[in-house]
Amino acid sequence: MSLSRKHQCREIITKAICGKGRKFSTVTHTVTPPHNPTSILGAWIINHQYEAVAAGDGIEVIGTYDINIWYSYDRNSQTDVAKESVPYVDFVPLSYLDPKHRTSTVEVSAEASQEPSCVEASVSSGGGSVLIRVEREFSVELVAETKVCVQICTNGCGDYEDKEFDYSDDGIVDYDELDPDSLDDDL
Amino acid sequence: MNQGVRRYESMPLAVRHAWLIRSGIESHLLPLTSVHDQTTFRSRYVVQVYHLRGFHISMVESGRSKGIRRTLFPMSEGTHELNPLLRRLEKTAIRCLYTLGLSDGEVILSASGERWYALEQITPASKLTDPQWVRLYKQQARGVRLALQAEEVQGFQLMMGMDPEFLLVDQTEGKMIPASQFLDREGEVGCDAVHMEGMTTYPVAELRPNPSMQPRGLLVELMHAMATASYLIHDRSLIWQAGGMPIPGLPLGGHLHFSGILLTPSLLHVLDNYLALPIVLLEDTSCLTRRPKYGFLGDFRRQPHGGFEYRTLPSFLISPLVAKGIVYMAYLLVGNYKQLVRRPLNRESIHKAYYEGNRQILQDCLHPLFQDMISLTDYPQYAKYIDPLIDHMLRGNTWDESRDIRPLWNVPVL
Repeated sequence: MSLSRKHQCREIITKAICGKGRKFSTVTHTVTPPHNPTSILGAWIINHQYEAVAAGDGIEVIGTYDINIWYSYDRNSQTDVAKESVPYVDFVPLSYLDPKHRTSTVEVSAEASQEPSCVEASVSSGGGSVLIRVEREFSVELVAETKVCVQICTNGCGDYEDKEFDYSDDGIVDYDELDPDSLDDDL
Repeated sequence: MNQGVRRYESMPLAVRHAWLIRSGIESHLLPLTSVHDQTTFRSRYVVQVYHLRGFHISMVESGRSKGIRRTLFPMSEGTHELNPLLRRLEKTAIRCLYTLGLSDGEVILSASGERWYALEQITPASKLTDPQWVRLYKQQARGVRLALQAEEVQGFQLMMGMDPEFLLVDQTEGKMIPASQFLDREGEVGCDAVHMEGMTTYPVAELRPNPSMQPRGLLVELMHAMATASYLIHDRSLIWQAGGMPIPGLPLGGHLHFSGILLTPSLLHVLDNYLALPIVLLEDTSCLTRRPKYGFLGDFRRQPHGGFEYRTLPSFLISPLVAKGIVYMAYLLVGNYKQLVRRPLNRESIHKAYYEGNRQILQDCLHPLFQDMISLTDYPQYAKYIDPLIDHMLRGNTWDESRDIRPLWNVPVL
């Protein structure tokens, strides 16, 4: 049996991006400084480190950062900086996943599209600790081997000189038939 | 001191605050205790804007707006667009200035969470005294002046495109069917994303006809895209709906793309005053809920090809009459924007009426706008397409977003 020339195709096994995802999140951390804070003078997120791990139907970003809070205490007569290292795990779902990918070949990566940044830091209602709201955003990729289907050019390569190509698309509609004036004038 | 700065300075703080809130911008201009509380620190950013472009962003390192500043990014040609935080800060700062009638200045924003930033303070560029900023603003002004002079000498070749949206609706169930069931993301006809509650779905169908140098050419391309959509969406039982918000919670846009001309604040004001304002008169009442999150005045986005898209209008696929009128009107207005100087939206009552959809008040300011447009030399060649739209506006007619748009566009329904 032979396939019609028009429909010949091949399945190619290749390494490709088989999944992508993006997630924005806001989290609140509580830091308890050694002194009861009177006011918050500044808050920073520094030393951010992270890595990506495949996890079910998504990718986990596992990381840490340091929170530095500059605060005043003793009725604004003293200041100090409170430091705390915070671990986190962010699960990023994939917005698409190629069902043909070979799971044994999966490699994942993540990129902080927005480095963790402090939105707000405030003294807790009890007065003993600081609540710090942090925003972070990751985009992730899953790379794996997969099958892609390609159509075969039966004429081979480099033999185009004598061929006439038809550049029209699927023959959906001919431009010559399109006239804006022919359309109904109704609001 | 230019007129915009004079007008801005004459606005009491409470009025500036009200204009921002009405336009969908968070404002901390008024001294409310909750945001000026000493026990709370908020991240603050300073954005320098000249003529709809941010050119410097810094972070305020201490709790006060006037504190120590650290440059986040020198914003060399366009590269900041790759960073979502900087992009959002630039966009918000430009929107704050534009809403208050300014084109250049320093904007201090504070983070309010969920990727929103509130306006804390604006200083018009002409009021900045720091020699570093005076020099940098002069440098920006020189660049824009040279580009405008070059455009004046060489003329411009306007290219127009669009990407209007529509929804697929199962009428028997009365629910929306995601366009992604029939369409890919890319291409002449594709689907567009909606982000909700941390999830991304692709419910909206979008037509992306090839751009054209002529309005008629663009409309022919639009008809081609419509025919392609008809071919791809093979389920004929689904009706197609357009306009501003035919289904609650799913706002639709009719974005117009322009290239070959420099985007200036005055061009954007002309599109708002002479195009977006009159179109409100035709809108179904459901359109109103689209604003101010969408459909706000001066909504633009620069494109990688050097042009920009104007995003304020609802989806004009609602009918060919509306689409034709808008395309021809936009072409006429953009090509002649320097001659169009009326700005009714600078008036408090008109600005308010735009966001509240108060037709009665808006209708009162239409005649002078139309007179300006009709007196343009090019008008007679486009009158055939614009006159019917004006006629409907003057008669107080509105479109119906619940209807199936297919019959009007000659798309088969069976």
